[in-house]
Amino acid sequence: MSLQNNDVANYTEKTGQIIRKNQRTRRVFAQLCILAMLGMTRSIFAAQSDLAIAPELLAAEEAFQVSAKMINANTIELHYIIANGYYMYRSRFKFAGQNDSTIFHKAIRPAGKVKHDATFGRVETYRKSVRVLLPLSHRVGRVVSGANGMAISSAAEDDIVSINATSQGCADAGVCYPPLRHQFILNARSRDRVNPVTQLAFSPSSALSPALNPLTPLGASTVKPATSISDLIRKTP
Amino acid sequence: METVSKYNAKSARVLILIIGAGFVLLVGLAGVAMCTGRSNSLPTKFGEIDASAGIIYTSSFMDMAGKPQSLGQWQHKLLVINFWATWCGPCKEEMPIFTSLQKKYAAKGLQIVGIAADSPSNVVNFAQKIHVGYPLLPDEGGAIEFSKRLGNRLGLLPHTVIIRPGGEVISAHLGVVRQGEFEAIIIKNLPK
Repeated sequence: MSLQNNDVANYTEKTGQIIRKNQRTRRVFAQLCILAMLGMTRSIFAAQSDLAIAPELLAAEEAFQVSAKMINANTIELHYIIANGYYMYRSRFKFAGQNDSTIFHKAIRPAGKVKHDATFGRVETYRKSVRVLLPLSHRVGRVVSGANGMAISSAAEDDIVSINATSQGCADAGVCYPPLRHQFILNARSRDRVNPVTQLAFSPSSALSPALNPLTPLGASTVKPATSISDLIRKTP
Repeated sequence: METVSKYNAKSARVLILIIGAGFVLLVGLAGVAMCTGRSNSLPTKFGEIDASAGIIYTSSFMDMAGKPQSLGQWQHKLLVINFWATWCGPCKEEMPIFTSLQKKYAAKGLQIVGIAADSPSNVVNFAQKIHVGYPLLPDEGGAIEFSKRLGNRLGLLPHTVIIRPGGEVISAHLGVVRQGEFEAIIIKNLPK
């Protein structure tokens, strides 16, 4: 009995210690959790305030909006609207047409604002907007052999002109966008303004480096998941 | 004693539960933080470098002579990868900073490389006009893709990534680097 009592007493005392210990542990954990949460919240806010300070960069399709129309049967006009704080390089426009019955001539680009570049000398840039004209001429008397051997004209098909326009621009914040390629499909008989059918960041698939070959083993190195650092853009004067 | 050890065992279980719960809570919070961070993120949000940083040392690029150069050859160096192009004004603006720092810290284990989203001929022409004191690796199609895989979502240039010996990405910067800040990170992480 007395032994049992002792046991009970012992037990109660131990339990009390355990409970106290448990409570202490729980308190410590709760405090740790709160600290961790505070730390995390702080870092989230810190990251967000960094973002708030940094200039907001637009996606390429917002910074450089482009549309096209046939202003007459022989001229395509490409209209680039350039967001405030962004510019495009005159020398970086390239155009290519896809239509057997159409001859594309040299693009007419207005003069831009001249800047001096240490390596390339004169560099011309556009701001706000630019209209580029693409003169073309139609081959006449083109006939297509029909299945039955008779020559038939494919006028409707010949009216469709497809062009690829490559352009490139930068932000005053001190970054440049990769070249953009837009494809337009126009009808020579229509004067409607059209949006690009595709917009691609320039990336010739044939030129993918061996580094990016899907066969390259990934994750085979010693690299740890990296720390992310919100290091943002310097505002250039 | 048996009773006590039983209770010790129980308290250990409780402890594990608490630790577990705490961990789950933290992971959850981190998840929420990441999710909200993502959804609020502006196109400028930068530095979301994922585990694909593992591609760095297994990648190789052609140099100006057309010889493949593996990035793995610099895994014991403090490696700075600068993504640039001859058509990128701000990129060319910061290159003298890299040339001078490469010279200053080469003996202490710094290696800067410039991966160009440009044609080899453009890069060769550029290097004939301007002295660049570190390897230039032109890869017109692959440079921006590689840069994107290192967290540069919009594929903007210049993009500069600093990698500690062993492969840990410690800094990623979009736009022209600020020389003072950049040099401070370099000094702090030099292997020698």
